[in-house]
Amino acid sequence: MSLTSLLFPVARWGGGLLGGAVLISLVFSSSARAEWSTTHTMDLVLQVEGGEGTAQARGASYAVGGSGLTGHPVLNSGAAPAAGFNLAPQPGGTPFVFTMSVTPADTVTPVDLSGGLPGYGQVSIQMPGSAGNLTGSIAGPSQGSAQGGGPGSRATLTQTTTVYPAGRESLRAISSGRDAPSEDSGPLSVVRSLTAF
Amino acid sequence: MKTFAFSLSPQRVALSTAATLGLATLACPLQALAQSASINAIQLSVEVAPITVSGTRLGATTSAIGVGLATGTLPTLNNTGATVAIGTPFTTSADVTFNYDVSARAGDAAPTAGTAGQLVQGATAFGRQTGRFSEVSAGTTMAITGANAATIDAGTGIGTTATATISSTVSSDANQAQIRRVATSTTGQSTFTAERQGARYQHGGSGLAAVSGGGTLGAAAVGTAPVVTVSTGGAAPSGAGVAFTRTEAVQTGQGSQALEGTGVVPIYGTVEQTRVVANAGTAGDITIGTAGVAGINSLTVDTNALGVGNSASLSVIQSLTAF
Repeated sequence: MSLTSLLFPVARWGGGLLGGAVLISLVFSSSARAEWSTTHTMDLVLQVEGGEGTAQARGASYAVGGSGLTGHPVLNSGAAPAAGFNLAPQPGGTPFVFTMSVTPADTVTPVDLSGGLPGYGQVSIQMPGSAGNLTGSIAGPSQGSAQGGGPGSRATLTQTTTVYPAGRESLRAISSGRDAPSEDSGPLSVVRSLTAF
Repeated sequence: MKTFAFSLSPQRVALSTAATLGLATLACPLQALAQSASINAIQLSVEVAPITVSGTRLGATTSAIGVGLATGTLPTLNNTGATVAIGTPFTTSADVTFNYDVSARAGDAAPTAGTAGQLVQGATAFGRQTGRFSEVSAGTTMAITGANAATIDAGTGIGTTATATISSTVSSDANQAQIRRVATSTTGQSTFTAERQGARYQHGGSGLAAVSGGGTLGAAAVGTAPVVTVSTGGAAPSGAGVAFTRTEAVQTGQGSQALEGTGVVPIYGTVEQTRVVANAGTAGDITIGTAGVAGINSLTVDTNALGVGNSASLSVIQSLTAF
């Protein structure tokens, strides 16, 4: 049994080989007889980024040092000077040196996803973008225009034209898709599949 | 029925070239190939970099160094980061050689959390701040006017990057050739790093009358700057014809300021800046493709109007693969 008989039994019912041949021709003609085809695509992407940020809490630190001093250097065992801490140079004009630093700790708080960043000592923020003058339009498969916007915005306009010359109905070319990255995406992949009967 | 299916192996004979600024037109060998399929693509993009800021809460510091003083106490800190004023002003005896140098900076107040839906509004009063700023782009336009024809103009806004990419691929049964051209034009972002200073007082001398009230640094709450009070006394030589010296220096500190995301730089005494945030129009005028991308083989970057801090580039990658 031939392939055509299996696929198209109507050909036998319809009166012989001629009917089957016509039907096969109709089924396959759309691709097998294409002389030339072209595809135009135009993509426009307008984007305004959201805001984001990080916050980092810090602990407490405390340091004190000196020489040639007198007084009441009351120190405690924690990370803060005790009350009554005071110092003075020794009498008689003795040389002295004194340094001191205090960094209070941040209070760690739960994250509030509906709120903002915690009040920590180190924050980094990317401000929410603004549309500004961001606009764009596509006038047809080959024409489009766009205008840049405010900080944190992006406008991308892409035109792709694919041409398949005559007799290459089975040739398939895979091109970069929408929103193609700016870096080189490497060689184009070409896959051919031929079927003979 | 016989079915054959195969994929092409990457037996590549690669040719590559690279061009820098000023390259206007490229010869394209693609048409020399017997075509089986061709794909041409143009991609234009204009991106305005986001505004980013960061803040660091500073701790409190104080220091003092001296010699030749008769009396006096030192500025200190409490456990919240506030400064405690000098209790007793420094004094000196007449005709002594003395010098002292005191400085203090109260810490930043504890930041508060951002309000609902906001990241930064509540997180204020950072003593060290950094930021990168962009502006709303002005005069930035791009258009694809037809098959293989396009123009793009980076405009004048700070922080804007315009990119044009043209990719061409022609394949036949035996060959595949690709050319990719990328042109970019960027107006750089304005950046800064700023840090608030503490207050500082220096006083020294010899052969002077006694100093009755040495300079002091006042108490300062967190987020504020100690106030400097200069010395009294010691202003005249201790006697007629006596050799003397006297030096004084005053540095006023700054209070901590809000972290802004709007291009406002805090008024701090220590600043690093790579560019002044200014209104549109001062960043220079850059145009990609003044004459347009007239056909798939032509791509130009006009560098005539580059402003300070702006940059433009044009690169070409070409490859030919034989199967």
